[in-house]
Amino acid sequence: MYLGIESYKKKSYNARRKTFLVLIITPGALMKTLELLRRVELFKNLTEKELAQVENICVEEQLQEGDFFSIEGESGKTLCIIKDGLMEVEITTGERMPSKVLLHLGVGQVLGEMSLVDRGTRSATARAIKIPTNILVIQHNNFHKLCESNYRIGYVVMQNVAADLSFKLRHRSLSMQGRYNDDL
Amino acid sequence: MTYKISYVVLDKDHPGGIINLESPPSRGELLVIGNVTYEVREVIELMPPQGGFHYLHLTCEIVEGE
Repeated sequence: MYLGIESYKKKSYNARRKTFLVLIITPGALMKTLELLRRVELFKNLTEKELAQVENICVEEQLQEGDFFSIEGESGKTLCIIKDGLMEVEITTGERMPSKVLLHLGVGQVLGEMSLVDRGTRSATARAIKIPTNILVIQHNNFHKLCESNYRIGYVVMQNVAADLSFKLRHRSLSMQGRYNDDL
Repeated sequence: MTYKISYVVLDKDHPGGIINLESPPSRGELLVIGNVTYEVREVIELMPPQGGFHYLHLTCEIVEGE
């Protein structure tokens, strides 16, 4: 049995046999919170005891298709981890311009980490585009309290926040390159 | 091991995205993300693996959906 963090079906095509190999991956929704947290980069290098402390401040919520986690420009006091489903992240490009979708985020990805760090407003709008989309929500205040009680958690997670933002920037740079319009 | 995947799509209208996978994707494989089926056209390593995580970048093409 294939045990995975995400909820997508994964299929391999065998050209010789003209058949699909379909791997059914355990839906993230069925995973225990602690099991998911172990596979989220934000909590990489935390001990089991520290992960359990993080688990204690997580609240699970279910979003319907079109439900918002964040709205650009509004105050942000929570962080979320996608447990199952898919979110679309978009920004407005000007008062008279339509919004632009920046990227899709799937299982194990984090939203709201920027306002966790800078306490500013939401930098983008994020909404669920798949049913069900289950998220783990952490109140910034609870997270800051946890970091104050255990500096190591704060140090490790802030390093991981920087790595996650760096990964998103790399993705953004690659997605803007024109090379992907050429035949591979 | 967790594979953190950045993917872009050979379609100007698709923004691409980031997902986690539990096994390494390979060229020619089909991935179903949301309601869309993609074929993996290219896999490159974005950064060296670290702390139980691999960092990959995929170029995909829509096969079905959207």
